[in-house]
Amino acid sequence: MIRSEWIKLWSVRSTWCALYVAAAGTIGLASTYAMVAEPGDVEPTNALQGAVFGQLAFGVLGVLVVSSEYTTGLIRTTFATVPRRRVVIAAKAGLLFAVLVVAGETLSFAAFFTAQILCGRRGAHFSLAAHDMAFSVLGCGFYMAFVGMFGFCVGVVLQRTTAAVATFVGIVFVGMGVIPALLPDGVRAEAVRLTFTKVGEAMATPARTTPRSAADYVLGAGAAWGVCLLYLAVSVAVPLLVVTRRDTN
Amino acid sequence: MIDIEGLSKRYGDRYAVRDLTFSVRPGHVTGFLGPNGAGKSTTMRAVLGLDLPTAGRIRVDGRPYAALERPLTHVGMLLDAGGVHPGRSARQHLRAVAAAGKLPGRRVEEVLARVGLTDVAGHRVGGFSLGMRQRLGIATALLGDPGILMFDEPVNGLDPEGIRWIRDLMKALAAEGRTVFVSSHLMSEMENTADHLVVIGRGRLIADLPARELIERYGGGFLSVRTDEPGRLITVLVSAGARVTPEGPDTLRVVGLDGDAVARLAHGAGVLVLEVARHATSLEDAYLQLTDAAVEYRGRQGHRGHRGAEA
Repeated sequence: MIRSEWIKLWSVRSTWCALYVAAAGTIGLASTYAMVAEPGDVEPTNALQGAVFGQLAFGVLGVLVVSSEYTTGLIRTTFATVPRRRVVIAAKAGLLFAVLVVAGETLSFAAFFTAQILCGRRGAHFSLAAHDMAFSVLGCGFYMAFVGMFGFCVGVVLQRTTAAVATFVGIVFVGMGVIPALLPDGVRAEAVRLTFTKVGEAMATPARTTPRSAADYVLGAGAAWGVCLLYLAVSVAVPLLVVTRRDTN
Repeated sequence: MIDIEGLSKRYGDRYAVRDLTFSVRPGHVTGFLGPNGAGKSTTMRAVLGLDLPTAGRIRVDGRPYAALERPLTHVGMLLDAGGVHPGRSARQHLRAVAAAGKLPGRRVEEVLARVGLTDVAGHRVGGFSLGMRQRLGIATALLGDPGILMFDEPVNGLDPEGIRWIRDLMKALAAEGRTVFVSSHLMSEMENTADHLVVIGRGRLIADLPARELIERYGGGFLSVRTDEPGRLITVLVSAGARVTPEGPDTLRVVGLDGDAVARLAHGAGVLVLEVARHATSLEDAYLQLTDAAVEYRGRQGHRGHRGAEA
């Protein structure tokens, strides 16, 4: 089953496309930051902010991995071939996650090293060994992989590519910013801390040296990893639950 | 061998299929006929476990589909001309399905050769013609060398050459002792192919019998009678027990009397008959007669704005 999913994953252009876009975004932003930041005032974790492009590309890839099967009707052949649908979804999810973790961490480290080399030339030196830096870079890559899996979840639930991509972007890049603002003051801080964006920021910035403003609600890195793993578990569990209860038209 | 027992499938408050029972046997081409929306696709998807039945039991080679080990070695299916990612090559598509179905990789080249796609196997499916896609769909169905083949409307949109190719293939597969189950909404497609027919309308079984018997039982030829006084001739023929329907300004379609009787009755009544033509019945006629009720129903539903069940 994994082998089948492996063939499917790499035999379409969209997979390569998504990975190229993610690479261009993360590494491109890291180089840009390294070239424009004041050498005396470099915040290394800022070089990881290109991860936002990685999230978008991974999320779309996560959606497409499953929605393209529903949209083309291939899913019927797949489910007729392997009637235990959870095996299919588990294989897809497992393979996608493995690929995204490898790609996410590779890009995250690549972004860091790019910024390190470029900043070093301009006299601003920092190192992976110092001050939770490796932990930040790892967190950044893992968070990107999680966002891809959330896209996968939306893809299974909605089945249609356009609807799923729109919903994914709406939730991750718009809804997460807007909804907390609508909540009462008492719970807003908590809600903001738990949004994907802030969880991702917390995971990618334990090495941050510049102080945050008081209104910037961010969890500790450990707690953020916990929350992210919980979200990841839900993103895999929901597809496994819904897939056996539906007709496959 | 497919055994369907009491199959019902409900979407919302509407039954797509209701209490359907029949078997599909090996060594024959079994035609599955019914107007669009009669429940054919629903039934086929239910056989594959894709649609979850509201009630009833389906056995494939004596077991529920989900209990089959390596289902592709039992059943191959062509559900529609799609079912392939347009960006993938034909070979990659087949390799992925073979891997999922735990089938040996050499089958990929074997089925490509059987459907004649070897030369284009490395090309993206998006550039294929409908006929080539259909062949790829059939290659997918044959991948597990299954004893049962199900084709849902396989000739839809094909050119005459493609239609003939599929017909010959279906006959050849049945001659190899396989179970071939093929749906269509057009009787004429089945006329030269199917040995046995299962006819459904409005989700219910209408007929399940050998093709030859369907003609004999539901056919019964008719006469075309041309006359200069159709009104009077209708009265005369109907009172003699015939069923008469006007076919044109001066032509009547007469069922239940032979040509001699029509001529004598007309002569007795002093009506001039200009022409009497005898029409042998076709499977098409028998089918239309059978599914009349279902078609009417569809017309009425259409006015109320309901959608058909075919997806």
